[in-house]
Amino acid sequence: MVPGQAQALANLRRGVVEHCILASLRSGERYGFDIARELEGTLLASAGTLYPLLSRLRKNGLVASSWQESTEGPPRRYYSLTADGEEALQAFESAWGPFRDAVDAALSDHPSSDHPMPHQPEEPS
Amino acid sequence: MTMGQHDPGAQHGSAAWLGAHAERYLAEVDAALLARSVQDRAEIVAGMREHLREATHGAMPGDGAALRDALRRMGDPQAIAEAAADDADPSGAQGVAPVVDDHVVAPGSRWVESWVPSVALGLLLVGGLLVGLVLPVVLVIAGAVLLWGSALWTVQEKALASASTLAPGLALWFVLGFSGVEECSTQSTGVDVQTVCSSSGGGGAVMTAVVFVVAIAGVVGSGVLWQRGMVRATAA
Repeated sequence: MVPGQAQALANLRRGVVEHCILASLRSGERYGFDIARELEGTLLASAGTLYPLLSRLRKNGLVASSWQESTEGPPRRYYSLTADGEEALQAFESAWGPFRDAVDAALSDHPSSDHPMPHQPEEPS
Repeated sequence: MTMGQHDPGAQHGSAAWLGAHAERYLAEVDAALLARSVQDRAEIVAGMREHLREATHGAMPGDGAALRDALRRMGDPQAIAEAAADDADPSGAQGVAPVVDDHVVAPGSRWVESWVPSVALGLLLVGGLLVGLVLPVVLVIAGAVLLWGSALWTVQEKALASASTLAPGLALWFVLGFSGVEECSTQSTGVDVQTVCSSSGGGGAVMTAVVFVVAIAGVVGSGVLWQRGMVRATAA
């Protein structure tokens, strides 16, 4: 069976989404619902997939969490980036740039036949 | 205000707060996350419960549409569990994620189809069990050719697979061979000659135990290598 776009997206998420979660915490601590709203869609297949990832990140010391009172309802669990998390994020960033460029270059060198080629002047017959 | 690490939101996590429908959903998630530790499951479910509370905050009591939308966006419990099982780990540490497989099957490699592990190891196993007859020898040779010609395993794994699949058969024939050995002694008293024979009983209890362990190890080893082959064949 030929993998479809959904499968390709699922494969691409592995190893990437966790770092996007870390990146979302760079600006300061946030609670799960807030992070999910930002990443839901392309990066998270569904909001629920965020919580196993947050649990693992916390267990591995890349994020820390604490419960805080909320003015709008029950207490919220806030997540923040740790020093190890920041280090992991920087390592990912330094790898991501060349990786993205290499993928872009590979795709542009071998464009899909489904997509129209850029307009080229016709050769005189 | 920081409140520490305990879950003060749990008091709001009752069925009355979110509704029985949401609690059933969370129970399904909890069940689907069986591979995770109890603590992990509790943390994940607590996070999702808080999410649902946030998503339905401000909705009128009994507003099923808000909850239905929140549950839909939360996703299928099984899909969440699958995502939790194969998520990568930025720290490089291994949790419940599958062990990283260093053996990469290059595209276009020979004999990497999903039938190869079953046929190759099956031929060796059956051939080994029936060794001594003509046909099983052919099966062993065919299995060995398939195993060693396939790109699904490393050289060390192929050697281990060869030994593992043949071990149960060799152990069986070793036991059967020893169980038939008889030791006879002849005593002559005048004109009478008396011959007494006794069976060795398979080489003793220790030998039988060793052979049994070898056979079991062979079966387990074959199973592990079959599984690795299947995983790689599926991914190839």
